[in-house]
Amino acid sequence: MTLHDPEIALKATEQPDATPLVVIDRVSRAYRKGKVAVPVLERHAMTIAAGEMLALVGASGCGKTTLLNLIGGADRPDAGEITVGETRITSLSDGALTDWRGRNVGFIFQFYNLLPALSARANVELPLLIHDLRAAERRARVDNALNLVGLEDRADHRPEEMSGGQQQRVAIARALVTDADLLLCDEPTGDLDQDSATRIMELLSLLNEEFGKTIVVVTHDPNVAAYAARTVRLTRPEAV
Amino acid sequence: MKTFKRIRTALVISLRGLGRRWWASLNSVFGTAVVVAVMVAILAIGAGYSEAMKMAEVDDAYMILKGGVRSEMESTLEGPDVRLIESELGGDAAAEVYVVTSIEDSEGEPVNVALRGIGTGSVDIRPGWTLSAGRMPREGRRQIVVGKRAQQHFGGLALGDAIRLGSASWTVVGMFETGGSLTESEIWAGATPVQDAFDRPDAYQVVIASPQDGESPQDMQTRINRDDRLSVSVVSMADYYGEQARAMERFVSILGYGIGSLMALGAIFAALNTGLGHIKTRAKEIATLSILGWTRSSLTVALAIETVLMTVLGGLIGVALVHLIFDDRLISTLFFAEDFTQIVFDFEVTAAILWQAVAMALVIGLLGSIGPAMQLRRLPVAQILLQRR
Repeated sequence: MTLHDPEIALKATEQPDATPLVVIDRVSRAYRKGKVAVPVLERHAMTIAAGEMLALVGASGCGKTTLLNLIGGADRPDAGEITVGETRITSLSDGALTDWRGRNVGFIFQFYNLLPALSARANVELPLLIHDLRAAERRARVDNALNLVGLEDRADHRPEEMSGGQQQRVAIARALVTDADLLLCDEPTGDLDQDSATRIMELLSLLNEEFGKTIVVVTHDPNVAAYAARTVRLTRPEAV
Repeated sequence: MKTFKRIRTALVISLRGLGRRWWASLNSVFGTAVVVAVMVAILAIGAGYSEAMKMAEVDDAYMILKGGVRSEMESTLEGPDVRLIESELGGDAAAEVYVVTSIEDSEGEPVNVALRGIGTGSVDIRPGWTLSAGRMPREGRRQIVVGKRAQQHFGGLALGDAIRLGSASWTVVGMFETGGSLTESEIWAGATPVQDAFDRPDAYQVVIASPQDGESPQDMQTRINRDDRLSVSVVSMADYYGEQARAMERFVSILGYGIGSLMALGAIFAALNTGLGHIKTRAKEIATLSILGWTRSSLTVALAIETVLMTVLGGLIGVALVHLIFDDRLISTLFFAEDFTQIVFDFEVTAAILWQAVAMALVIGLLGSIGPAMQLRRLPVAQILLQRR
């Protein structure tokens, strides 16, 4: 079942299967601080099953966000391979990786990253603009996504006219609108009050449970991590 | 196709956000507008001047000056010599007196003006010359006909006005036109009254003559100088005024392009600064689009197009400003290349100047977008997306 099926209103009953969606094979990534290489990930390996909801936790600087960016093709590893679905993303050219990212991954950030000049509707529509879709289909998809996050009545509002929780829901709708299987969330509740945070996490759980989305959440918050079926704790490698 | 779509959508998204950074964009637009306006204004003066000079050229008319002399102002031909020349050339010649005298311009400031004392053939030898009002001066009387441009620009030259030129008072009896050429800046009178008023008895500056079929200026000069009593230089009117026009054109081009280039350098830095400012203020937007599937190349091209659009808009505003301020205005300047008389001509924005202005705006935009484009390519997208602002 996909988000844009006509029967979207029906509750899906599919359960996550054990088929791996993301395979991380001995991935290393270091950043340079002057002449010193600071390793963030070293020969890291893990698998994320399709339809899984996973929390990445650990101390600051342990590589949670780096790993998330590598999985989503927003960054490249120094060594190792990452395969998502059938695609070995570490072998893709920059252009192909960007294209793949736009089609297959939905990103949700702590600070929403909405375009301030655009309405909620236009922000949600953004990822569709570079796909070959007719305006009517784009509109239908945007309406579906906004309905799903409960913001159909705020579609014409700009980000500055919405609360943090509402902005994050717009960001979630934007991540959903391409019907990407993989949602990568970096501290999605880090900027929200408790009530809004709960609502966001319930929404992400719904997307995972009802729509089979594979969700990886980076968080410091044990309450957020508790929504995930599995928690992976990362540790910082030794500096070289 | 996909790349084009990415560029187009990135550009549209960026333009929709213009309202949020209007001040920086306005800076770039008006920076370019000023540069282009200055360059267009200077080049249009040069073009107007050249056009006036070209129109003063008369096909098949040669100017006979004193030997070794290249300008009317330096030339003196005594009466007996002029009569020998006229007899050699036959009927198609007109001896003229050329003096520079002072009158007041429309604001009461003293300016030099060319007063030409003409002979009977002077009008016939200039086919574009027409008497547009009044009549020609009567033989031996202190009466003048005034060029249209001189009449428009200088004061006290309406029909019937009396004006002091040299030691005498003159009455304006007519007005002439030559299609906007340099000659329209002159005042014409009979040769003899001019000689009398300026104490130049029986002396002329130039003889204007039509050549025989196929005769070159050099041929005519040789023919006249065969008489041992004469020593003249012959130059075609086209060459005479063409040389003056080229000198002015060179000067104005150097001035226009020189000042324009220096100012353009400033405008390039302004565009660059604006572009860098845009990258800074739009880092989040650019990073967001990048993470959503827009390639760096498409975002870079969209940024360059936006910068160029801004500067070209500025260029068009610059041209429009020049038109609004100067269109239909007459420019008066010293004809310094020859004799420091004041000449009046149209401000002329030619199609070539227009294209040069647009090209300059384009170059400003392109060069101004290189720095921001390089910065955009280095933007740490993943880091920016983690920041609050």
